[in-house]
Order: sequence, then C-alpha cells, then structure tokens
Amino acid sequence: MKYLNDFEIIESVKRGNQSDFSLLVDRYKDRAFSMLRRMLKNELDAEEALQDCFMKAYNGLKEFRKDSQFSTWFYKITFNTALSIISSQKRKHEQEMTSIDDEFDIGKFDPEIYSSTENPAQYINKMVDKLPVRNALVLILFYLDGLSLNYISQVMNISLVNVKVLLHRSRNSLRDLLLKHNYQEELL
Amino acid sequence: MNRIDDLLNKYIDNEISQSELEEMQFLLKDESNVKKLKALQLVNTSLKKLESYSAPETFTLKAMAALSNKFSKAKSKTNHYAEYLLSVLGLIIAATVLFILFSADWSSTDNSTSQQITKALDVVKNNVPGILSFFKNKSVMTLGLSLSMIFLIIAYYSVEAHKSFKKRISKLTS
Repeated sequence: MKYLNDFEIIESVKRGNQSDFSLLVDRYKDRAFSMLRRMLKNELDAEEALQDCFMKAYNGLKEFRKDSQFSTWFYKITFNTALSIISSQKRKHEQEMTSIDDEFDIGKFDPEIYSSTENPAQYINKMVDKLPVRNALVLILFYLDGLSLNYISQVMNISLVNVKVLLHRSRNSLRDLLLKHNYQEELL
Repeated sequence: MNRIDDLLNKYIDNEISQSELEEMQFLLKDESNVKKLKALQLVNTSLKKLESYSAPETFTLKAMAALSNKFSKAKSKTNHYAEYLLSVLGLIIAATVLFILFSADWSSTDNSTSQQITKALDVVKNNVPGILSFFKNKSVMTLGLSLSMIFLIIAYYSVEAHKSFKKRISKLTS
C-alpha cells in the first residue's frame, strides 16, 4: 500500500474520502494521547480530550494551510484543548497555569514517589507528572516526541528563549531531587 | 539560574561554545559542580527513557464512528431544512388550487379541459386585483414594511452571532 504523507491524506479527505482521516488518527493518536495523559493526569479525560482534538482537527481541515506542518497544527490543538480542560476543571488552576517566570516546588511529592520507585529512571518518570503543566510538556515534547526547541515554541506559542528557560528549570529541579537522594553516584 | 547551571544545560544540549566549555571545566574543579553534572546527565538519560502512553487500541474506530455520527446528523439537519421548505411550498400550491376549485363556477354543462382551464384562469384574474388592492392598503403596507425591517434586523444579528461563534470555535482550535 502506498504511503501517503500528511498533506496527501488531507487533500484526500478534502476531496470527500472521509475514511482517510483514520490514517491521520492512527499516525498521531499515541503521541497526542501521551501528551494529554501527562497534562491531564487521567486516562479517561485524556481519551475524551483526544477525541475532541481529532474532531476539532477534522472540522478545521478546510482552514488548514500548507505553510505549516499538520503535526505542529495538531499539537497546538491538543495543547490548547488540554489547557482549556484544565482551566474548566479548575484543577489547581492557579498553580498549574503558572507563568514561565514563576518558581515551583515539587519537593512535596518526593517522599511518596521516592518510596514507590526502584531506580532513577522510574523516579524521574513519575516526577515529571508532578511538574507544572508547561514544564512537563516541554520535557515530553523534547524527549518523548523528539521535537526541536523551535518546533516546541511554535506549538506552545512562546518564544524560543522561554522554551529553553522551561527546559533548563525543569531539568534542574529534577536534578536537585536526584542530588538529594545521591542518585548521581549510581552513574559510577 | 546561576552560571554553572546554565553552562551544564548548554553542555547537555550540545549548545556550548569553546569559551563556555573552558569556563565550565574551570568551574568543575568544585566537587559540588561535578555532582551537579552527574545528576543532570542522569536526568537527561532518564528523560530519554520517559514512558509513553498508548491510546486505547479501539480509539481509531471510536473516533471515526463519532465523526461519521456527526456527518449523518449534519446531513439529516440539511434534509430537514429542504423538507421544510418543500412542505411550505407544497402547502401554498395546494391552498391556491383549493381556492381555485372552490371559487370557480363548475356548474356549466361544458366540461372540456380547455373550458376548465379558462374557468380556473378567470378565478385567478378576478381575484388578483383584489389581492393587489389589499397589499396597496396603507396600513397593510406599513405593517409589511415594519415586519420586513424587524426580520432583517433579526437576520443581521443572527448572522453576526453565528460569525462570532465560529470565530470562538476557530480560536479554540488554533
């Protein structure tokens, strides 16, 4: 079967082959789900939001311009959907939606996470979920999805400098926790 | 963020310049900074192994089913609208035909088709001036104009409301 790129699929859907949209769903569902799962911290909410994102994407296909990649555009939809869900749920809104300059402290989650994990990788994996939404998202997009910092700044609609600030601060806060437990000695 | 933190992050991301590298090497003479570097390297390798979540296996089917439901609803809405317009048109035609049937004098013995058509046309000819004079009445005209004005204003605000709703939707999706 011929491999269709995103633009070819979109053209096909626009021509009336609605079922071809499933190719885009298959292509992006896992990455978007991972992002939503980390942001919303709940599997059911993430699945519901994911469906909403694909609905929005389908409805917006007519307005989609070829000057940007579908993935960037879709990640933006996913990011904004998650943000609006978080704000509507008022889930610690003030804390979660901190601005880039705000300090944060994830140390309060440390005892619980530390006691339930066996190695630094597991510990970091769980601690990422405790970071403020924007900080966690930068890490997910950078490490999990392998997106460039430029690309992340487009998705999150913030400057490249701010993306770097978020990335460095997030890593530093995780690093400080590893130092606290002397995990760095395991490298030796 | 202090200088060593900045340099270590740049080093991890391979964005460090030669002069910065030398500066970092100098700062690494301090044992606490070496620990920081090791910990940051560990964070970096751990984040590379970050666990990803997969969407439920049946998700694509569910999403496509939800989309096709939406299409069928949209289609059925359009059909209802067309049906509504056709029924109104049909009612007007039926009312006109009934009016002609009840108003014409069918008692004549000559029942040929051409004669019947002439009778029907006569009914129309006789009643059109009456209908026209009804609409020429000043109060009827005033009422008609006022209703048209109200209808146009309502239509304008409905279109504007729809536009702003669409804008809000597109803002959410952008």
